[in-house]
Amino acid sequence: MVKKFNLIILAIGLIIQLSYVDAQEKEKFKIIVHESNSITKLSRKKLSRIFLKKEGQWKNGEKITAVDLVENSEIREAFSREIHGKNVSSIKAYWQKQIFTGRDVPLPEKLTEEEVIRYVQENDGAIGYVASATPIEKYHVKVLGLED
Amino acid sequence: MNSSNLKRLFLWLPFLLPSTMCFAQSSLSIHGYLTQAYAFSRHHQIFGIPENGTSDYRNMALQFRYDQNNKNIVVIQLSHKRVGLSPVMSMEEEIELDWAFYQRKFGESAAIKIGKIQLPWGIYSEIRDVGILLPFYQVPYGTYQDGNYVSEAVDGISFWYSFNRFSSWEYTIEAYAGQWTWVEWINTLNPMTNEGFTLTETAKIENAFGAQNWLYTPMDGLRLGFGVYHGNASGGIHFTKNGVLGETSLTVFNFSLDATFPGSFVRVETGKYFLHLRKISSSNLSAQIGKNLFSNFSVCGQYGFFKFLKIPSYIYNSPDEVTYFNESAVSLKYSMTNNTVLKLESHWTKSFLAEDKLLVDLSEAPSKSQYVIFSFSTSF
Repeated sequence: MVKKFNLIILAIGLIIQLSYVDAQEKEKFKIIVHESNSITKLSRKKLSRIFLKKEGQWKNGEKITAVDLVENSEIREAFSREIHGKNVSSIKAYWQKQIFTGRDVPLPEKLTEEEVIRYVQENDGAIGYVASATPIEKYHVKVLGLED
Repeated sequence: MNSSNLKRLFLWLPFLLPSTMCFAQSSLSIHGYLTQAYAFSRHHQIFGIPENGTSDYRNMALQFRYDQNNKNIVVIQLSHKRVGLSPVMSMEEEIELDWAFYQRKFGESAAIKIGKIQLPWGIYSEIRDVGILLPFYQVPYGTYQDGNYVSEAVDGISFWYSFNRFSSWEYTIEAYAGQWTWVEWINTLNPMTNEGFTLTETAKIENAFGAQNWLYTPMDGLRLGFGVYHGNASGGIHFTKNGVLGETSLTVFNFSLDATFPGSFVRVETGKYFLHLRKISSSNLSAQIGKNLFSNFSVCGQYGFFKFLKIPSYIYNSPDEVTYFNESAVSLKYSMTNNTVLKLESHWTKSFLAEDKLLVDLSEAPSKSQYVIFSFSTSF
């Protein structure tokens, strides 16, 4: 009986721990698009497809140009786990497969969040992500909502 | 530039190019991979691996891709391959053209390729030499017969189409038509001198057509595949007019299950060959399972076979059914970075592929052989 109780406590503890980590990751980044983009929110699934180049056009027919942060970025790791449900290594493997089957090449990668913001500002169809705390008010970009 | 300088440049290029980033943003991108291995065998030499070991074992390629826009793409890939003391080395050029094709995309659900294109076949055919993506140095022999009776590219045309592109159940088909060649080798007796020698030839598969189908399920990472091709085989060792198999049409089927999840995978492929003229058929199986023990360390197991069924007895004095190749293997994989992998693997085989033994009688017991490969893979 005591063993069972301990197990239940342990399981509850784990769930609390996981949801805490999950909540932390959710707050780590925000999605940005050009301010002229009429979209206000996107589902995680659609976002994942966009960042894997499985969807390439906005509703108005404009080309989507998504941009990633470099692979050692913490924000990219959080984005990858939250949106793709995989770590950056798995996503890199996906791109290597796309490259060496001749199908596609990875998204452009930016070294800093400022470069991401500038890229999105300069391209009407662009989409990127930056840390939640990064100020974007002085740029012509807007934040997209995430839906499940 | 002479051949050795070209080879030297080719060998060093992956290390001289810092990263793909600077290229990926322009319309020209350059990518490449390298796998260098040291391998040794016990009992018999197999897959070019001698008992006293070899480091002349590597795969590398450079890919040049030009995206004129998001519709028109040209891809060229050059490769360099060394397979130790394998008989197929006599047919390998220092640098070969892997593929060179023009691709035209029609929206996001259709594309056509023309030129020398990768053979879309099963899970691994298109990436068979990309060490960083493979759980073992080689793709499973049971399904892919690496180094013998196999091609990686088709000279022809392919058409890819995706049904239900944006839904949970996606179905894709890549249909192709064209021709290709494959290498055959055999250790046999010279009837004039009664001495053994290795015969290596190239056979042609012409008027071929086929398709690779994939059904992607709503479970992310789980897909089911079905491939088929039909063509006419001629030339080489066995497919000459008077050869033991003769010029014949052949039909090949392959079924795949690929379940690749974060931290683990199961991949199973099974197929059949039918050589219509002699009514010979064969079946094959390869199964792999892998599990991440830590974030960058994984262990993989593999089992596979290639069997001839209904093989006429006049062919190497064969019984009705011959297990031509049977293998169990295990590998340890350590990912140093996202682009660098070390692998240590051991394979235990029973087969008629021993390269230091004559093949005169398929009714004899197959040769046992063990081989170990330690490899380093990188890509950029």
